[in-house]
Amino acid sequence: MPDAAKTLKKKVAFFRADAGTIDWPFAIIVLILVAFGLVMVFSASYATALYRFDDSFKFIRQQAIFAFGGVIVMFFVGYKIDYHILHRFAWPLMLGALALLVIVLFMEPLNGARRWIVIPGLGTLQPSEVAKFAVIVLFAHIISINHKRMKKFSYGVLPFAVILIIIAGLMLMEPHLSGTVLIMGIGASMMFVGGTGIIWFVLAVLGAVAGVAGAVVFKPDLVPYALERIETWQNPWLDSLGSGHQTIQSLYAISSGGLTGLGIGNSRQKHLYLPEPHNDFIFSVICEELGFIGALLVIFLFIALLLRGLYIAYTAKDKFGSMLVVGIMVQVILQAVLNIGVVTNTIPNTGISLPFFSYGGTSLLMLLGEMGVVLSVSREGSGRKT
Amino acid sequence: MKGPDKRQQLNEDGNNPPTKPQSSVNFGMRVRAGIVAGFFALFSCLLIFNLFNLQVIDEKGYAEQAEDQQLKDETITPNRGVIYDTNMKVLARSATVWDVTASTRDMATYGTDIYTVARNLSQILEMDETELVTKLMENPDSNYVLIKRKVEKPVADAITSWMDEYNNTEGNEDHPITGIYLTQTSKRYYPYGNLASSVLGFTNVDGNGVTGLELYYNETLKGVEGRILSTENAWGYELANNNYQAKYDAQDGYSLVTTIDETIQSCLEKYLYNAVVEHNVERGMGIVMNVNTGEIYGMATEPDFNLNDPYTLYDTELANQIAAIEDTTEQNKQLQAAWQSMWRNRAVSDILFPGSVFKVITASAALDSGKATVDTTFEACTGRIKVASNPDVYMNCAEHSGHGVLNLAQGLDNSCNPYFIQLGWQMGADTFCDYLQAFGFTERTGIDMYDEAVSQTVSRENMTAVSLASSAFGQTSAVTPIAMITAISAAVNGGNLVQPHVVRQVLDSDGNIVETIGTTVKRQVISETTSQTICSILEDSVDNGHGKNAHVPGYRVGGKSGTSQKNQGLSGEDDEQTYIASFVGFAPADDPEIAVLIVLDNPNSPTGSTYGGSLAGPVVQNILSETLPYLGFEPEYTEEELAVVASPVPDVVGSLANNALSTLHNAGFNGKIVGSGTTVTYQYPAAGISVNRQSTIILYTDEGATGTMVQVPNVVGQSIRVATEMLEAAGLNISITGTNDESSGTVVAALQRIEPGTEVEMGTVVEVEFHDTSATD
Repeated sequence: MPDAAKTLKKKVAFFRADAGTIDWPFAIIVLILVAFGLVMVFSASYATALYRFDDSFKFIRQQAIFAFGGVIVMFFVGYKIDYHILHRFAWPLMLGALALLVIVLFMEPLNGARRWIVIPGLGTLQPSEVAKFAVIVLFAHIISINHKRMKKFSYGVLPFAVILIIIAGLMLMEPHLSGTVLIMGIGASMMFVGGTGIIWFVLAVLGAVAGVAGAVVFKPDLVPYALERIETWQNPWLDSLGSGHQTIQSLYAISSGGLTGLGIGNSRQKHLYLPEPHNDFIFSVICEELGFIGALLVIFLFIALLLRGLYIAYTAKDKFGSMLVVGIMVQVILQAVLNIGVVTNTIPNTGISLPFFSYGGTSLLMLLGEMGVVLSVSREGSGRKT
Repeated sequence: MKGPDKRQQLNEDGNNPPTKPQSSVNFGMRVRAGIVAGFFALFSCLLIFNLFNLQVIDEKGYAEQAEDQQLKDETITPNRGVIYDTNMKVLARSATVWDVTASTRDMATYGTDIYTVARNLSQILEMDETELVTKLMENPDSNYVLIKRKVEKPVADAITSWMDEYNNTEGNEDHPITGIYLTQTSKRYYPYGNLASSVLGFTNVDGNGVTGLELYYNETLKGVEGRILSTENAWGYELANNNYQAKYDAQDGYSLVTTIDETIQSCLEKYLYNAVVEHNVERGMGIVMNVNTGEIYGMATEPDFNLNDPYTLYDTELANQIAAIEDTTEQNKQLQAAWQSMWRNRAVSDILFPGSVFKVITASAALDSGKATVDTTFEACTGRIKVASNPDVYMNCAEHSGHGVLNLAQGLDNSCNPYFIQLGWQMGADTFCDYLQAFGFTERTGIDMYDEAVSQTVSRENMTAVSLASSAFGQTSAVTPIAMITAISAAVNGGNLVQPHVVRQVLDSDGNIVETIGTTVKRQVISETTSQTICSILEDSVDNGHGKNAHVPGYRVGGKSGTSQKNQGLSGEDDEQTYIASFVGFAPADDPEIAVLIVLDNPNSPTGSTYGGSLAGPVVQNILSETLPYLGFEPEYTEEELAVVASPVPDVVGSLANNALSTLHNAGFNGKIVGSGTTVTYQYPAAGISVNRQSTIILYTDEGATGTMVQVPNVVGQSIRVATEMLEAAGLNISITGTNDESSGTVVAALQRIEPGTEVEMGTVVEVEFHDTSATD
């Protein structure tokens, strides 16, 4: 155990005698991801920053500040905050998130969607980000209370379904399909881990199939539209200047990287070919600059994070902590695989950012705060061990 | 939700199997969490598989496609090789010029005022200002708007200095001139303009040959393009951190040293052009060739065009007609056709009936095959001959009254059709066809010229008595001028069919010889003896017979005239009939070195003649008379010839009149004194000018005297003696071209080169061309 941790442990011990230390392997993986992410944000953004804002450091400067602040927040939460406090915030957080999701609908649309709330002087806030965390906390809270009754519909399905349907309804009004998918994925995963009967998932899948079938029967005019979407997904060149453009440029970037990449900083696709190379398509730049090996490294880092998170969930002191970790890990990994799925055209294009890598100060800050919650859970778990 | 004590409740959950005592998380949750994690791991495997396919295998070649869009592939244009004449005079060369282009995107970015640009550029480039404004306005946000192609250095410099000056002027900082680019490229120059235009050809905007040598040797001349590969961003700018750059140097094109001799070419064109104008010829073709090596010293088609301005039709009437056509498709079509017709190298691309020139080939074949001798005679020529019975077909002789009985030499000299028809029959179709083939009429000559046509002859299977008859005197095989002169060369050079060629050396850009093209003898066609016999018959024809219009004083010249009917109307006179007048001459007749072929297609001469001997013969004569001394053949004049041969007039100004007269006499000239002084103050023709001996030099003795003007009389139709007397009486000198055989009563002045009635200085030499009107071919 590092010396620094020892000293910190003393301080923690001052607050909580039975508490252990945070899970350092997890923290180190997070720190590697954050550092890696910063390097890649700079590499991916400086060209665009220079072309469009005449300032190579425009994006990295802000990202670095948030990353630094975020790491402090992470350790503070990890060491200083008892995650059980979140029991008390579960419902208020959800109510707040719902309120924000309503407020955002009255905002000026940006690129045809109302996804951001502009707070004058502070920046922008995505209510969906808040909603994700609110779902995690509330679901963990409910599961920890009702875990023995989870097989029953009224406990194991209904409350979750109601919440998810309300959130999905609001988010689809923005519209924000990718965010909805994420929240549904997080919620469903937590229900599954929390003990909701398998039958309900089977029924949900059947219901979805029936829904699709119903749509085909009752709204047949949607079918060609859907087919067209699938076709452009399968072959982005059908609309190479329109919706396929991003995908094509991303594939170009990925393939250009080859096995070992063009070298860090040497992406050519980031020079205005890729739209927002530092954002949703940052993984393409990683692939181009660091090659297949770099791409593997990123994926393995996420898998390592997942496995360590799983270990923390297994060893958590209680179900609430365990479910919090499960929810947070699902959020991070789901987002990561969906993002990589999009840039490799494995799944249809939808706007999902890559955690730790994509540019975005507030979301990085929130993400690191969540990592702090995971560390807080790990500290309790390890506390029991000692 | 206000649960009692959640901590307590949750702590109760800690009843786990004892094997995992540290966790409150039950087995089911672990399995389910493991399943979720496993799902993500699986999905990750799919992603890794896809990444591997994209990055390592890349079967769809995305990386290459990406490079296509990222890499700016700039070509470095190599310098096109030079085309030299045989004495290394430059006939075609490339020089650096600049394309002026604009980036309206840059202009917009830096606040450049388009109107200022247009106003100034239009002045420098001599363009229409509003047109330029429109062009710039119509292409906003573009990196490449072509403003003007190929401006020369002074103009390019003017643009640069204007931009510098403007941008350094105070107050212009916020709206500088930007986005105007000068791209180096090259332009082809032809220093002699029209010279050898159909032979040399020209290049298009891209620097590729369109016609002529420029096309035939395009790959040789062009060189290999160089490339600069560099990365650019999606806006088209080169990347600052250019991590991918490769440069491949251009390899300059090779230069051609041709066999064309500028002096001979000019001479050929001058006389051919004169003939075309004087005799209203639709078009004339001429070739000067070394009969032994196949080197083409000169090759011309008249009218020609300016290689520096090849798209302007020389025929302004036709140009106006085409310009008046309203349907643009039709207009383009006609314009294309007119251009192609103008650019055509007819000396190798047109096939025509050679007429009696071809009799040289028939005679050579008959002699060489042993089927006839010089003494062979046939039935007497009665002016026509029956070539087929039931129905009867007759073929005419040019001499309607008939030639009587002739031997081969006389038959050739008199160009008697019935004689040659019978000669052809005597030889037989097989032998005749053998020689047709041997002389190269069934194949291309292989000259290194684009678009060589292959001559058309009657095939062996189709060679009937009638077609053999007409073939024998040159009215059935349609041949290219180059094939004709190549065959004639073989007939007179000792029997060798050589491959004509225009390029003798290929040089690299440093002047090292890459390739030398020497003489290719394809085969021996006839024996040397036969060739010598043919030479002497043809020399005799020029000296004493029908070819005398080609006689060159001081030289032994052989030659044969030809007149063919274009429409193959073999019998009967037809007013609509058009003709081809041709003449082939060669010299020295005892050991031929050069041959000259002149073909005048569709002459409409004011002299009324359509005969090759009269129209084309003098052209050959003029060319030989200049070319032979130029090539270093010393004239050997007969005494008669020596008396009149041209020589420079001595300078007698300042001499005493009497001394001046004796100086002139000694030089072979006459003198005539005008004025009352004792010293010559002015003479005409001036000193140094080459004038025929026996001409009269006018000497003025008065102070400040200048020439007296006299009117030129009309001497056309007069005999040499009368014409000379008429001009002498007017105080003028005569220069005789064409034939100067005074003994023949049939020789008359056909043309005078200074129009009757023109006021000229006394003593002026008037060139008069005499034709032997008895030469009916």
